[in-house]
Amino acid sequence: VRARPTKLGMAAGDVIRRGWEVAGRLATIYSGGRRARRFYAFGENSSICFPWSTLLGDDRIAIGVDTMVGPYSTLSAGLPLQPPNPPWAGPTLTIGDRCLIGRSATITAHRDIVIGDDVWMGNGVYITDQNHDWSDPEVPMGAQAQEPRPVHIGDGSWIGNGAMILPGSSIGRRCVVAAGAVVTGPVPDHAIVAGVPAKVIGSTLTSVPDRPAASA
Amino acid sequence: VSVRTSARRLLGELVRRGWEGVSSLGAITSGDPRARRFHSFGANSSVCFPTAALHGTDRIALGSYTMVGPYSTLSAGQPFLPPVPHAVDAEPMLRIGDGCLLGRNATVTAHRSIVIGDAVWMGDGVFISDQNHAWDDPEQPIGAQASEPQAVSIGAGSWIGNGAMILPGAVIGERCVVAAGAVVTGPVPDHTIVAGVPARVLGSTATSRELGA
Repeated sequence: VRARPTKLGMAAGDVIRRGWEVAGRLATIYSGGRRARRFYAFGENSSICFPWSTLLGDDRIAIGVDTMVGPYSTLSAGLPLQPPNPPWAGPTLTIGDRCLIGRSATITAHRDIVIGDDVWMGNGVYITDQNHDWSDPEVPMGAQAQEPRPVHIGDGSWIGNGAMILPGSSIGRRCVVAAGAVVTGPVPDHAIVAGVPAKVIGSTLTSVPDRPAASA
Repeated sequence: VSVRTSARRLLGELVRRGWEGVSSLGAITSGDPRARRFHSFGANSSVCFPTAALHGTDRIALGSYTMVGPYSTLSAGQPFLPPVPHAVDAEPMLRIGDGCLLGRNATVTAHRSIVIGDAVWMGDGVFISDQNHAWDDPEQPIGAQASEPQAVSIGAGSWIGNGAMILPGAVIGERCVVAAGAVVTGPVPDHTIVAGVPARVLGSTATSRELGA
């Protein structure tokens, strides 16, 4: 940050900020665009905001209509240097219609991640269907992988800021996953889960906020 | 060294210097045309480039000697709707005090009232919001419904650890410590150290420097 702003510096800063905003609008991936066509499917009125962090295996990623993925996000399906998705194979990562995925999301699919319709997520949500492994003591854990376990998120659910959805998570319809929660297994329809590891603390069938006990 | 390699190195150096120059010039600093759009923007403060999102800046008051790290979101009012012009004499919806430091990748979204006191230092990726979604209407997605906002405040001199989440109704006192990754949803008295999901009291900053146990 400059110590003493000059008139010229301020003018340059304004040009840079406006340029960045215009670049963001132009470079965002919209349905129908050249980049969108690389995806397995890319529904109408959907977008992936610029700048993204990583996009890998676009031809294994299916995105519904009216869905937005925030900037600085990673969507990954399969592994680097994989051959193109064969014509008979379906998508590895599926995101439904009218979803909102916040900034700095990380979604890495190796076998099957399905996000239903109308799922809204906060920022910094992490979703993966595969863990690392430590069976071979001679190989670094990062170079070993467990068998992937599919992840599913049901229609109309809300995933709070910074939540982590780990391999084997199967989240029902209209669930709430609280901010910072870590999910590793099944969550029944309409359940509210929170904490590390996530536990059921309520239901979205009863009326609104039976607020969790005060924090301190 | 081949011509190709030297050309690559030179280009790389240009990109690095260019990015540093752009980041430095692109920061919003006191007196900038962009800073004047804020409710107030104290002297020697800055919002680093690039920002993730700035929304309703005329409802955001920033003190002096305060820095907001890059890739951050500051939002006041309802995103996705065109901002309603703010009455000149109305209180700001989001107030950040003097001498604060908000780390990179912060998200602060105010719908009614978020007040951050003076000299509050935060790690990276901190999330602060005064409104939750709701599930009253079974026909609507939960994300499309909102519950009543509950004001959030953070007292002067407190420290908010990396990745902490400060949720609606959180009222954090002065000189508190919120540990990394903690999730705060209610009152935290002055001088309290809280940690965990949900956050629990672990100690006091009024006594010794040692944590918990």
